[in-house]
Amino acid sequence: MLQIKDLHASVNGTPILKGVNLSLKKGEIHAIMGPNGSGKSTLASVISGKEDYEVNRGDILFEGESILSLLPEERARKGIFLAFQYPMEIPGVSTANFLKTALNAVRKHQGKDPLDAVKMLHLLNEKRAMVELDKSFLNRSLNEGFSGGEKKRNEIFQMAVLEPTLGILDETDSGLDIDALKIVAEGVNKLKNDENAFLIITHYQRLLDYIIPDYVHVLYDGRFVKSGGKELALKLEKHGYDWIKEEIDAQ
Amino acid sequence: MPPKFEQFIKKQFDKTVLPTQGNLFSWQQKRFKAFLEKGIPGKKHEEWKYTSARSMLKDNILMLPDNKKDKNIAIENNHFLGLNDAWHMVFINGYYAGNQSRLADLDAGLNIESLAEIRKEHPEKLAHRLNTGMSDDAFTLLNDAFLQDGSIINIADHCHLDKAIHLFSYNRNPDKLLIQPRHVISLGKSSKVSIVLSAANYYTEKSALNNLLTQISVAENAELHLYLIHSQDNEDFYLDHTYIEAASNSRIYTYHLTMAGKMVRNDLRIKLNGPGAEAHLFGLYALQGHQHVDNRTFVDHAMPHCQSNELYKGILNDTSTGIFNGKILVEKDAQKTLAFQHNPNILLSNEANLNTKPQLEIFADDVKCSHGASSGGIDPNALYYLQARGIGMDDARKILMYAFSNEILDKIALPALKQWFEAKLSKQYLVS
Repeated sequence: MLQIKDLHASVNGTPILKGVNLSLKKGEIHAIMGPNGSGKSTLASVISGKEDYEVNRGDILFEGESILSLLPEERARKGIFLAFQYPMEIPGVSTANFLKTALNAVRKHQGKDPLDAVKMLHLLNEKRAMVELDKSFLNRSLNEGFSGGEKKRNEIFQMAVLEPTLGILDETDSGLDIDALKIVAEGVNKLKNDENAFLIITHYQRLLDYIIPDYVHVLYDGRFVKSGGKELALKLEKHGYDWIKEEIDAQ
Repeated sequence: MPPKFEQFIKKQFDKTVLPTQGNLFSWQQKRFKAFLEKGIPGKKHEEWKYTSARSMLKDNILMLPDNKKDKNIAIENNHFLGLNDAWHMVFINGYYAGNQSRLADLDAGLNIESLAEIRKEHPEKLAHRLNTGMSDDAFTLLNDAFLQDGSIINIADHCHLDKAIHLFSYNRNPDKLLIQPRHVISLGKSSKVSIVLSAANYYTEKSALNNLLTQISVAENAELHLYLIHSQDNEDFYLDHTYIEAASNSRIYTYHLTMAGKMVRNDLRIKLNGPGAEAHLFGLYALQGHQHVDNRTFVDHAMPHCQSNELYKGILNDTSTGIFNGKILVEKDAQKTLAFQHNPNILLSNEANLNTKPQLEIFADDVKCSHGASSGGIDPNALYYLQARGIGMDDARKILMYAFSNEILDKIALPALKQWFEAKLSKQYLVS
């Protein structure tokens, strides 16, 4: 589904990603871990198409086609969803209207008619209940005045409504208490099926107690330096990142 | 003063005001003399730096006498701003048109009359009310001098009006008319009213010069909602003067909603003249093409324990120009004043112009005041967030502009008017 080949990317001329390779298949969950500043969030932003990043070398293929020339909205319509680390507060736009517009844009791309008001409301209510967001959130301005946990649950709610084929969670667990963490994880587990895939970016292992990854990759200084199964995450939790840094720096 | 205009206006004064010779005449004559002495301000005048008064006086200007024939025309429904359940007082070419107005079933505590009528029949009723003492700028003097027509509206003590009063000025003449409506309004103690002012020109490609003066006195504990609307894309020049005097514990809400206008200059002055009075000033200007809006506000905190909150938001596209000049004066005795002012703007084009000037003058020492202004484009991070959900760039921009406007629309307390504006803004901004 997703293939990243020798990806080099920079921001304002500073190289951040220095040759990332990744292959992610349908039905898989991959976790990307790494110390602060290793390039995890940059990778998420580059996949979703954020303007500030420049790809200097390599390619990203989604379902066999390069997406590097596509705008963020075109990537989203193809089924790539980024759950933001810091979701924007947008006063004056209700969560419901925002999602209606987004879902209908995606549906249009898929050649489907827009959902009528009744079906839309039904869908929104069904999905928000899944992440235990109160009904009132639909009419509140998008993320405005939401707590950290509510913002993250709102991201998962949006993902549930848009049903992407690739879900990228950028440090969704940061700032969450254990209850909110479980709600987020359950949401992802419910969405997970054989046709989609997830990329979980996290600094800590604890989210991976609830979302079990098939593979764990460690990003360090813009490159994957280690890959393994879920036991790698446990080892990182126990020993931190220093042993990896030492290993790499010794090479 | 441009000689041609001076000649014209003197002739008009002799023709229309001189023969009246009533109680008011000597006052009008004094005001006219002051106007002639003052002259039309030029670009060097601090208050007229960005808006050219003289450019408005080019071409031939006319003043028409009251003419019944003009009043028998049909008025398109959209000029009533969706206010189906309101009293409408209509003025055609500056004169009250009773047959076009809808003033049936007035509440017992509400009295509405034509100013021209009162000026003719009972000038003594007007004499003590006209001099607001709040401004003697040239165009105020000019309006004083002519007292063409307009309204006298009195709301009795304790009278709460559920229906709004809409004062609509409609120009139905293709010539460049000088129209000078005057509204003299008073709110009794603990009364409450919503008043909506709007104007339009049937000939949107022609230009008229509208010099409006609205003066409102608000008694103790009364509540005023005043909507000042320019929504028609036309070639008219609008000089709107609004002078409000607020007694103790009264509440003033003003809304300058400007969606179009070749040249709109709003001059709003509020004097908080009794302890506990509060004023909330909202403004939204959403401009495109070569539109030009000059908002000037002046809040005079003359008494202690008053508060004012001011929020004017602007969206400027193409080569449009937006001006905001907000002055807050806190007088020596006005302790415990709270005064806040903010003027954020979005500039959508490199050729749009913005001039913003917040001013604070404080002579009391125990006060809380703040002011600020900002301008910028659309937040790229917000834009990216919407795009990352599949919403196209153009639509995302429209949504964010609508959202920016929404903060002001949300303050509109008349549901019908709010709906009308939402629909109008949606058409301009929102996606299907």
